[in-house]
Amino acid sequence: MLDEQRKKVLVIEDDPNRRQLYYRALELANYWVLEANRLRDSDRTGQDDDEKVLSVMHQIGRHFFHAAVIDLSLIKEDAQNRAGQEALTVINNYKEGTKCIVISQYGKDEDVREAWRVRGAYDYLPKRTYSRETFLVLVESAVKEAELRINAMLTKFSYYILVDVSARTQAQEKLKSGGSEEIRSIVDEALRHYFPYDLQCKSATFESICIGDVQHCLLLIKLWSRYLGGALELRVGSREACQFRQIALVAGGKKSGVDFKVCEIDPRDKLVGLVEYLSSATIEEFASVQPEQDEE
Amino acid sequence: MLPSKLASILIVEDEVPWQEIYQDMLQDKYALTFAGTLQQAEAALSSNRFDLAIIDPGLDLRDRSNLDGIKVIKRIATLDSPVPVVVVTGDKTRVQADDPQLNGFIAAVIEKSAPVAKVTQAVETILKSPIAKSAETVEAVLNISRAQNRWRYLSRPAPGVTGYEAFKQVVNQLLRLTNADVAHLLVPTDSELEIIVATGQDEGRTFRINDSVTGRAYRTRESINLGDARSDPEYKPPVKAPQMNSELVFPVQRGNEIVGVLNIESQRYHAFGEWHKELMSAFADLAVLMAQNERRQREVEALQFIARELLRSALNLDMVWQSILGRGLEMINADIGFLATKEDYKRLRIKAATKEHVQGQLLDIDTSVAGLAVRSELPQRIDDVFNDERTSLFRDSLDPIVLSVLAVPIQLDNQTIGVLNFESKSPHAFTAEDEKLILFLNDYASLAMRMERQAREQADYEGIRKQNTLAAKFLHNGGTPICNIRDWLDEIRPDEFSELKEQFPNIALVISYIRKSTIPLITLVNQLYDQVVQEVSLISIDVNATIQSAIADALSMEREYAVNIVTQLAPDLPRTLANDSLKDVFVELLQNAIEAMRSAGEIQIGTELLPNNTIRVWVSDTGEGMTPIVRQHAFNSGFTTKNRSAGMHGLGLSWCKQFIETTCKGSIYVEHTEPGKGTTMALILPACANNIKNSAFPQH
Repeated sequence: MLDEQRKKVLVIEDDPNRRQLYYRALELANYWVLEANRLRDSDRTGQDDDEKVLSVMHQIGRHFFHAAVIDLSLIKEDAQNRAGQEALTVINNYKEGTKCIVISQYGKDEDVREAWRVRGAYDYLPKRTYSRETFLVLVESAVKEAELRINAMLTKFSYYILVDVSARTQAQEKLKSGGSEEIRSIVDEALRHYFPYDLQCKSATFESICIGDVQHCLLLIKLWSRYLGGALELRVGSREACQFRQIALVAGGKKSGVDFKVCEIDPRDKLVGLVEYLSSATIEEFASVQPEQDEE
Repeated sequence: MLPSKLASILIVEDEVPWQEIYQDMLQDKYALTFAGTLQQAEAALSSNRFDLAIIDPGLDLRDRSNLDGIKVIKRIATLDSPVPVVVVTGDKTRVQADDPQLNGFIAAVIEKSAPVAKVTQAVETILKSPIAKSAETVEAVLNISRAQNRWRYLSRPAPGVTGYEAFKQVVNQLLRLTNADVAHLLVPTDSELEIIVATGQDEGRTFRINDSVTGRAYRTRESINLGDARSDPEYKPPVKAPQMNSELVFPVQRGNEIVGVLNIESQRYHAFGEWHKELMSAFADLAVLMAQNERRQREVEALQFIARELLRSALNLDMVWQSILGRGLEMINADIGFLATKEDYKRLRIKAATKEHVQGQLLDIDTSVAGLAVRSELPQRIDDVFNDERTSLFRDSLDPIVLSVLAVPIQLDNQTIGVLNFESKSPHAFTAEDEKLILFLNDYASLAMRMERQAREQADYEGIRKQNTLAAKFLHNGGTPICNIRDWLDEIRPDEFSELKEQFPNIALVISYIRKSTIPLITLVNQLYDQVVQEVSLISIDVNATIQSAIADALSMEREYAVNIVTQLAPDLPRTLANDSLKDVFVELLQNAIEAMRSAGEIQIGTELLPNNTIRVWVSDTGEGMTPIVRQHAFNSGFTTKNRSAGMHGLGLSWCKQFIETTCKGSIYVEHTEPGKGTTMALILPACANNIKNSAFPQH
């Protein structure tokens, strides 16, 4: 089950022993912890073959993180490698307010200086003075600050391009009510509170539902939310069709990991939105779905 | 061999400087293949065909007895078409030319102390005439035997060298002006006079000093004018020339010393008079002058060569000693000599020597002329060793065949560190000018010594650095696991631990022991980090200059603020040991001050030397000041109460504190703060001697 209440922390550390330490501490403190041990997928991983542990690029492409814990040296045999610093830059380039906490090694003062001065690290913790309490306090303060930033950014997001461009005319015709402005406002409202950041693998298609003898049409938008780190489907259509769909989902009850929410926003009560979380879906499944071309 | 194809040469030499020398000399004309070890040489020989091989017998600098080069020659001897070999060695005795296995393959043996041009000449000669393979032939062609150069001021230059041409001109002019038929210039060898320049075919012919007309002139230092030469019993007619009837012989003198003889002969009787004698006198002076010039030129070349060698082989003193000795022998035309350095207060050790002395041998300072020079710190030129009062105390221990000695001390920083010693079997062999020349040469010896010392210091420093790199590696790879143990033990919560204690008291005991043991381990690692690793990266830093540069940085980052920065920097402030990050500390303090003032204001930054030899740096602003809570947490990482999203630098101060305390061994604190009025931050840095960097950690 996707849990939008748990804050996400990315632990970037190549030493499995050390990574487990951070993982455990954060997990017990009720963070949603994801792990990375290398910058790119192609970088070597050494003997670390935990399947959950991926590359920074992989994780950051699928998830938004409130905070990241970074070990600056990611290749044990090469004390001079810059992978940690690069990871810091990659994360900060997303400009999502992710706060990076650098864990520094012995004899690496210069690296901390660079991480802080040049690459915008939020804070640092030398290994020699590490303690569980300090670590958790640091992460907590980083996550809090990231949240402030997220709230400030919420209103900046809009999805009208998705609907307007790919299915505007179709949507108006097939939904048989409302105009593009209404559809847009439904989509915006439905997504705004949950998915403030970059949504990937967008697609907009149509879904037909027969209720009795009547054919109903729903606009189906498939999205990957980095904020949630999961897939979701948004359906927009008549209240009747959406409710039918909702009842079907509840009654079916078998589709594991499905959560949904009906947004009733339209003042004329013609259109509503239904949001489903698909926690079992992977980003790769979404990548294969292409937006349907407007037939006109 | 096709004309378009370059002759290919295999060079078997382990020393890189020599490889470079060969490369410089030969790469334009020949295709070179280098091999540094026996294996490389064998690989090269089995895969390629070579026209010539240049081989150093010893292929391991650390092992003087290494003779892998000889093995290469033996390998060459087994080839179907053997390659002529030029042996270039620092020590000729290592090549046993009489070894039947090698004989016939070694085309030339050249000492490393000889001018490098000789190698080029040898290569050219051998490649031009493949028949000339025996060592003797090439020796003759190259004229490298120093024994033929006995004559000290009119030494016989090789054909093609300017000096010879000059003498040839002198003799030709003399012949033309005097209307003589034959003219010669002779120089003394051991007991004979040798014709070094002749208008006829007599070049190389020798006359006994005690049984010839020229010898008589040499002995008596008087000119001899023979109107009827053949009536003189000592007269020796020239080879393959018409019968000569008159002869004029004139001794060539330089100062009081006789250095050669000029000789003209004519078919006419009584052909020469006083005028001819005067003319001869002028030509004799001219010859001496030319010889001197030629000699000077050679000296300059020799010194240039030494300088080049010094640069090329700055780390290989043995080579430099050999080279300096070789040059010295050549410059003053001596045969026997050695270079010794001071082993301790009563002994010298021979570092380079001609075959009469043993390299590595110890000499007693009290019983040798060389020791005399070292003790007196003055050059010792002894014309007759067994009749000189300076040697009276240790005459018994002297070599009976050595009659004259020139020993010149080598000095470095006003201390005598060694001696350059030349010997001769004849008395009065060395002149005051020789002494001066060797003094000059010794400057190069001391220069070499200085370079070697610096190299050694550098090596020591490199050694320290290597150790510290090792320590850093240990900390990087070992520090983390040790911290892991500590931090994992820390993961056991107190309630869990008491539960464990109840259920498994033994395991709990083990864990508590492990926990106790990690504490000193962590302390040790931290100490290692503080003392060893940090020190390597420290350099002495000028605090005032760093502040100036930090001000520039801080202002460039914060343009929107109109602040005035006033500096009060103490002059003649000692330096402190830190690294480049010190600047960031100042930048951080300045930025905090600028931010604290929001708008315009004044920042004062100053330095002073405190009586306890520490440097105090303060930064004061007229900003908003700190509340007691802020002050309490100002340096805490993660505890800042400032709103960081507004651009405040909570991390900055905690990093500054960490850096100043662990790296600089100083302290940083809030000296004074008053809400609404401003803050003064202060830093205490330990002062260091201004020159500490040069002595402890040479800069590179």
